[in-house]
Amino acid sequence: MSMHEIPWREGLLAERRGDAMAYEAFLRDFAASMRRIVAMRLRRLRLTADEAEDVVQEVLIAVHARRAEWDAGRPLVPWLNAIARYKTIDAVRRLRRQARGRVDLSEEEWSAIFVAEESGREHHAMDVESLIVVLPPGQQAAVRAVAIEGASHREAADRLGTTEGALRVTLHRSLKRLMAAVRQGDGQ
Amino acid sequence: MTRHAAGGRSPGTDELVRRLAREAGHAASRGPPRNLVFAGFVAAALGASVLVVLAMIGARADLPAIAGSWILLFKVTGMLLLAVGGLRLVRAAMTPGTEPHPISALAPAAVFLALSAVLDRSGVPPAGARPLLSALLCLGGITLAALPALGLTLLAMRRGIPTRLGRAGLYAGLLAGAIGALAYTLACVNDGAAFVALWYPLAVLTVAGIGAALGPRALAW
Repeated sequence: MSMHEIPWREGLLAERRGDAMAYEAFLRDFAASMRRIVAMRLRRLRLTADEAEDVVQEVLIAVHARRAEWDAGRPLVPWLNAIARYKTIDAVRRLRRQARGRVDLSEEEWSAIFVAEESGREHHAMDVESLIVVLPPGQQAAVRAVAIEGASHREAADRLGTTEGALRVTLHRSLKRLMAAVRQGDGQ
Repeated sequence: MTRHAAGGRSPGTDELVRRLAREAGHAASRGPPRNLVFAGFVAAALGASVLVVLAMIGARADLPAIAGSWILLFKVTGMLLLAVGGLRLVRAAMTPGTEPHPISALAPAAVFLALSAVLDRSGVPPAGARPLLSALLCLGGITLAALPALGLTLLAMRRGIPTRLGRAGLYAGLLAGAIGALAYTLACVNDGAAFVALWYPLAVLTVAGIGAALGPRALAW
């Protein structure tokens, strides 16, 4: 039997009595446990911390929504495990689909933003430099390597000591941030 | 990237936990008991299958005469055993943390049908009184009769918490197939045990295959 069985069972039974404090304690404890499992099991999928946290939240919501269906005469932990497994697989499938769309899109978006302009390379580089100051250093380095120095994703990843996939994600993040910055600038 | 490093709490999750905790004691458990609703779905599935068989083929002419005889009782017993096994599997598949045991659930029906086939003295060949036609009619009739039952079984399972959807769909198909076959006994004129032991389970497996294919989409939540 899992060491969580007794405290978690008490937490869910307390919920049925309307004890929000005990239920909140259970949810926190369960979330912490899920966070560790997701981090451990899904490490090779290279989920970002935000994505891993999304998975944890989806499991929490699923358990919360179905909590009345747990039969108190049965062990709780296997019940939670089955739901967590289902929702995690579901979330990972969705994240994979998103990642595919994200990688497909980013190349075109990048070329549209940085290469379309036929102005001189110096001018172009200055524009980019002035734009990317809003980015954290890691993202700046990635953008500089790809957009200014024209390195391929592979080369840039090697130079920055990361993987191609991680670099693409970083580029995507910076793009999102840059677009947000531009939009904000327009609004003012 | 490591805005909240491993082990650290996310502010979003904290907020979510607080919001969920405020709903303590308000779980939606209104309405009739779950088991009663499930039983209602199974009864409706049997009713629907019987209606399909009666509308499509009609009861066999001598049904009143054989109603209490072993000829009919044998088929009904075999399919009832199969349905009970399917029922056990379906119940397990819609309850998280409960392992379905297909071998022990299906063993009674399998043993009963196999023994009956071995001891068969009816003289009807396994391929039926009119080979091919009998078999095709049996396969098609049971499958068609089982389709509405499959729909209702999947609906009933959606009210539970299936977590392995392909497998859950397969078991739904097994149950629906057994229900369809049970209904088909009203119309089936092939009384050989070997025929029944061969073609009925094949038809049930066909429906189980359909269920397994539909499961991942029909049961997702």
